[in-house]
Amino acid sequence: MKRIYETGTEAADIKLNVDIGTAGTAFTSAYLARSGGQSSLIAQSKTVSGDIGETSIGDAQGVKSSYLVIRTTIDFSNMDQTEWQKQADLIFARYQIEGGYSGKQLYNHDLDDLNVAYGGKIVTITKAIEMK
Amino acid sequence: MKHIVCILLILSGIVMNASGQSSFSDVKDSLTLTNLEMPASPAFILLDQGPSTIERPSTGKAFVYSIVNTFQANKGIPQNYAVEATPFWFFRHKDMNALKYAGIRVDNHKQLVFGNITRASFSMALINTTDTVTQQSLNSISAGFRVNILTIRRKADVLSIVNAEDSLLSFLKNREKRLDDFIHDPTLPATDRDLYNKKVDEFNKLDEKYLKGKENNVTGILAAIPLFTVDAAAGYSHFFVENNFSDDHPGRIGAWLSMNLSLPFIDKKGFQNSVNISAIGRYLSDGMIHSGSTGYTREDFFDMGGKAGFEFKKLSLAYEYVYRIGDTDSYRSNGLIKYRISDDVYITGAFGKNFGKSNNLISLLGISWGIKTGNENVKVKEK
Repeated sequence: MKRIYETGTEAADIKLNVDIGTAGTAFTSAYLARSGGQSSLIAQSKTVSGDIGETSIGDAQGVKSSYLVIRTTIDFSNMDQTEWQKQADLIFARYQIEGGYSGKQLYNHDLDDLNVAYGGKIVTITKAIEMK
Repeated sequence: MKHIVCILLILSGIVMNASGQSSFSDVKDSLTLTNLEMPASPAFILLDQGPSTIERPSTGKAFVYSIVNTFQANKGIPQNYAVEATPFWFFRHKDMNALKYAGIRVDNHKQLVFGNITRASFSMALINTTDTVTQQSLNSISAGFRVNILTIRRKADVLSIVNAEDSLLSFLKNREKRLDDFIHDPTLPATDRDLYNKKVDEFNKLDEKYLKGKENNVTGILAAIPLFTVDAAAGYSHFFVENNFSDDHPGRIGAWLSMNLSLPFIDKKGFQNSVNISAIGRYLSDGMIHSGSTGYTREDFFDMGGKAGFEFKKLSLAYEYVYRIGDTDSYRSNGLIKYRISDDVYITGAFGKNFGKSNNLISLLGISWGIKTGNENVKVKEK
């Protein structure tokens, strides 16, 4: 589900923080995309946690009218197949944006952000936030 | 072949005229023969529903149902049941990650040796037995919990897990690059979610072909038995005589601490086998002892002992000895054999001497299995 964050017109720095909690192996990428196909990679997670620490995505003016797309892929290869469904239910994903007109906002992942493949072994969560 | 072996062993169990007894006292009120035993949940161990008094706990699942069957007592229909749950896995955990799940810190790769304490499991069991003194039926209900206090893995195993997770991470990074290229329009998740989901599904189908034959073995690496573990468990049982609600009695109370040391070795053919040594200390208060004229009385015991065994591929052989300090000192000495048919099904046999001076032969052959289920609240569907 797409969410909206109002950036305002100040020159303030907009910051993103991604917290993933799962027993599976997670990898997260955050992109800033614009209509017309232009996209830039903002940050990627560095460990198996899939977390992205506080990262600047640009100033309010600069990110206005773009889309923040955060994609996390979780692989449950590290556990028994009988646990995949249960562990998919237990995924914790929280996206924090601050610095703009909307102030500090927390977003969770929604059901339609999930995509399950290979019988539940790989789960992809895609969060899209419109920067208005 | 596995099925034939399984059927033959079950049939041989049915015809085997065995007389396994209570490991808690020399009163014969529990195992008669051919019990289909189950995993080591304290609620069952407390009521002697297992051929061994010293078990190495397995990894806790969110929820496990188990059935213990006695062929002769109920024409094959299960009459003994147990459930075991790990509350930790009923909730989301913000700080959980794949390495922490394996007991390793994500920042410095040091072991979280006490990491399983929060993952204690709780069990309940319903057991029907016959008191061998009075020949009356006893319906017991028991509850217990168990927890892994300490787990130490070998350094080489920790390194293997970290390396396996690193390669999995590289695979995911590579997959993300391919997925991003495939989606092509980066705004799609925000502008047309349905089309985006279709493209991700399409990518997954193509990727499945790409990944065929490139499966990783992280599960196998994680399954390596830890070098040293310390586990604690406790349980309480209450029983009813002859299905009479008003004829109820406090049964057994027990608490035990066990330690396991596992030393792996590679044989000439390259298979990893292991030598396992366990020790146990246990306090028991048994209220299921029928003294004849005065009815059920209580006795307190303290058990201590050990078990040594070998694991060769799917076969394990072990010997255990437990010394009992109580009103009358006694000991239990028996050999065990276990053959694993699959991850959840195995055949167990035991033979030896149980506690007490009479009717103390242990002779069991059975099969054990567990039926697992998730705690479904969000149904995951593959599109």
